[in-house]
Amino acid sequence: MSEQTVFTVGEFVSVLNQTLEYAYPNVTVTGEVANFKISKNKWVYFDLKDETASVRFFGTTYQLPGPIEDGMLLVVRGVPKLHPLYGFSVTVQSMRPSGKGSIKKAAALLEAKLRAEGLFELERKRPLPYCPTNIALITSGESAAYHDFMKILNARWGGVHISHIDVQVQGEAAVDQIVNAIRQANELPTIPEMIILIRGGGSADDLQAFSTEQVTRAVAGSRVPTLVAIGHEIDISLAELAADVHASTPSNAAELMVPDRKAIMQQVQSRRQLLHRESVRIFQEAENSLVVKKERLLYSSSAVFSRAKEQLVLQSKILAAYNPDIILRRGYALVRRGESIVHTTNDISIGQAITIQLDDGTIDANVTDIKKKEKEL
Amino acid sequence: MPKKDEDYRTLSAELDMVISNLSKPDVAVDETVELYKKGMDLVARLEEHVKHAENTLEKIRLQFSEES
Repeated sequence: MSEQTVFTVGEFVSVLNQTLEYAYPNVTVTGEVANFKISKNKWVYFDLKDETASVRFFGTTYQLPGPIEDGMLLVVRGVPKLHPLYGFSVTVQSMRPSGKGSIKKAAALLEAKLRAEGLFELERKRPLPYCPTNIALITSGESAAYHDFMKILNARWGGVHISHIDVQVQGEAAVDQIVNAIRQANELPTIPEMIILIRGGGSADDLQAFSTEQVTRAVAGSRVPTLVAIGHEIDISLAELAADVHASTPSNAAELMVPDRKAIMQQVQSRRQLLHRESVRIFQEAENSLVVKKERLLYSSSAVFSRAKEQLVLQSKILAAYNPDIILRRGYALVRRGESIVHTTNDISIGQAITIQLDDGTIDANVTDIKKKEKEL
Repeated sequence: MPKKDEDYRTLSAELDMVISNLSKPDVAVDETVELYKKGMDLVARLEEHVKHAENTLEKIRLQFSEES
């Protein structure tokens, strides 16, 4: 028998851990969750198993991507270690659901949990500012989503100041980067009017970061209003549910954010025409009104003069009836003694000179006799 | 150009008052002459207002047509 190094148990544990640290400083393992439990609301214990083996994992609740149940498939990155007392386990560094079924299930569980907390309530939704001038855009600068968004934005409107925070939108680093980016956007020297979080289409795995508890809570907790558009999938991510507004695609996000300058110009043109038409109409009405008033002025004045004339005619006729010439023309005479008119036989005496005025002249005469009219009984 | 302190609405209301007074049955002939004279004066001033406003509107319309 060849000589082999004989270790004490403690030495063996140290040597094995050093070997592991050298050969496998961290490992990524996928498997089905079993015996999942949380201790003291802080420590997480579970096994990952397949048909042939099972490995113990240990982590913290902070690392959970959401609620986890036995039977879900997980991909876990961690540090393998042989604990001197508790045996072999992997200390979790990060974990995420894997496979469409597990991801969907994890999202469903998380959605139920966050919904119960009220994160998706309509009352929480804030209106987005109309036509903002300063925004924060969180997405990958190399992505099609970024280019689509910018293309639509510039075609529709201009002059928007964009603080672009470049992040990975899938993979392990995505969650932390997105969460940090949202915090960074809320702490910019000039606070933006809104935060736009976008990514283009992809598999359930690719979009998973946007249905994690960390990203969802970061969107819900943002002081700056959020507009989120993730992928082209029919299913909405949890981040979109938590956002103040969600758009169907990154292009749609640009359409919701700013108006279309062509449509606005058309509106301005048609209002300009309406303004001109209404002004012309008002002036026309004013002119027509003045014409009518002028006619009424003339008519009313003419009516007064007509009435006055009619009255004059009537008065003249009445006056004419009192004209002494008409009486004389009928054969009557006017008798005077000097300047005074003789009204009665008592006004004159026999022998006095009188003047008799007829229609065609006067007669000078002397009174030779006076005969009084007999009084009627 | 209409006077600065002359308001179209006030002048129009004044003209309506003159017409209303002329329509009264007991208005005297002398008063009629004065009222008619006043009414025609108001019409002339109102026409000046409308004309001035139309000209100003046309200038503004041309100005903005040139700029666009």
